[in-house]
Amino acid sequence: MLRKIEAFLAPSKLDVLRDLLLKQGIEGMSVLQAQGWGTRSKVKNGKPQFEERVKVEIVMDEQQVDPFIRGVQSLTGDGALGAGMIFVVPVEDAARLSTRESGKAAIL
Amino acid sequence: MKVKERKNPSRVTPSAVSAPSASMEKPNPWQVALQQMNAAVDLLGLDDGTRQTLATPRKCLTVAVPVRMDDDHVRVFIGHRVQHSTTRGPGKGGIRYHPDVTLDEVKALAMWMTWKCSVMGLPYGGAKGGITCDPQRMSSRELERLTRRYTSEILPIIGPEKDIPAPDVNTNPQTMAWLMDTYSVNKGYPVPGVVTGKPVQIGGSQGRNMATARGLMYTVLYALKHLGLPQTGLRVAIQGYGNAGYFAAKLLDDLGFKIIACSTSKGGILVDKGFAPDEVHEFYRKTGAVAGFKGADALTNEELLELPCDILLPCALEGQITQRNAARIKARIIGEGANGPTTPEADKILYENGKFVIPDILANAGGVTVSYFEWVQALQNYFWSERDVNLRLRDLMERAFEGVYDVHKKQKVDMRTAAYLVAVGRVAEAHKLRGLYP
Repeated sequence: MLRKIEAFLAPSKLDVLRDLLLKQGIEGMSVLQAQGWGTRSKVKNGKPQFEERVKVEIVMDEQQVDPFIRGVQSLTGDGALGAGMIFVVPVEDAARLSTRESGKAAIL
Repeated sequence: MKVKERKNPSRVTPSAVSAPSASMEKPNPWQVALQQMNAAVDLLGLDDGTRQTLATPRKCLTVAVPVRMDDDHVRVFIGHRVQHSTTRGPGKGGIRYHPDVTLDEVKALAMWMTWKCSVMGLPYGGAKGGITCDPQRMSSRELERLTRRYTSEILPIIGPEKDIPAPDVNTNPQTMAWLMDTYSVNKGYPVPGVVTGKPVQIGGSQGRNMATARGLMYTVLYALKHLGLPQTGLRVAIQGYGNAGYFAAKLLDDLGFKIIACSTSKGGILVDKGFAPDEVHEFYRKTGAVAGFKGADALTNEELLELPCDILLPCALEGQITQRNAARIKARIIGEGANGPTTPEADKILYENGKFVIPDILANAGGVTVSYFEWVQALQNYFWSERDVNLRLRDLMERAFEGVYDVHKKQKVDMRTAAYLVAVGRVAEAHKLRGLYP
């Protein structure tokens, strides 16, 4: 089963994240510039402040998800407030246009 | 849920059962089970008919199990299967092989299964089985013949829609495979849904062997969150290093907790800076004990319970925390991986001392929850990935924990009473909805 990772991280973590993916055999990621606030954001005048983040999207096999999350956790460390969030989303299918491969074969 | 003042704490036990045992040293488990049930029935203000229904198992079957031993002589063992309740669904509960198995014990364990399945919101009643035997002195062939004959004796009352056994003390996936095979041969077709805890190769579930420990870990994490304590780095002592204890150590170690002590029946170890659960398990596998592990201080099972630590996980036997040692327990959180490790008298002392006890029917319910998943998968003949199983387990554990915690806060009762109020209340409500036949 395919899963999509939607991770919101500090931009400074991008390079080490790429190294982690290469180490775990995950081929490819998309990075989007993002702004946002969450429960751990800084508050000014009673209002949470928008912060610069990157949104990383990666499609991977289900079995790669837990090692990936553990890997990212080791990058950010324990108790670092505002280190980010990871969401795991089911993916119905994938289709690679050049080869006409679909499903898991299309992403690996 | 309405809770009424308890009118008469020392109320008369139902007529269907005998008076409580005078011995305080080894309480009769059935009397303990009735005492706990009565307390919940009183608080819920249920009528006497419901009380008697809940206090009386639906079915108790005692069978003779003649077995031809390896030396060709025949020995007759006594086995039981008790269905305490089938109101919320088919009976569910393990089968144990132990010299101390009695009908009263099996009845109590069946009742506890009813509450466990109910508090978890699983569509099951409660059941349990056992054979009075000493499996340590029996060969594998003798155990197979014992299991097959016992299965054929209880066959009329078990089945995927009636009562679904599982492993318990001294029974394992192989035992369940023999049970499934015997049942299937008698039916004439494979029936994987008759039993859970089977090997994966014949319809068992991924994640079943770690399920109890995983469920225990989740309840500890939810407790820490509610108590405002950090979810990592705390000191953990674990009594028992079997399936529940070892895997709980492993899972909590992965999350950055410090596992400082563990034990088996042959004694325990203390490593103040924390130890690697896998290394100790490997030592246990080779030597049959954790005592003697390099670099560890020796300690007794009793001393382990009283260690200065944050989280104590009794994962061994019942009746470990009693009125004698409860006041000396230093851990803030006690997660009951074992069934019945805390006596009712000790419970009161722990509650008064501000300890947070995650009661057994909630804390160790991960096992029966993944058993439920195994049964669902077997009925569908469609099997889930381990990750799917673990995520669904987490969801059900969280739902159950939060439901019990809510009652604990709102009714200002300890977590065990809260769990019983939820569990007994649900079964009583189901009784009421189904009505009385005819």
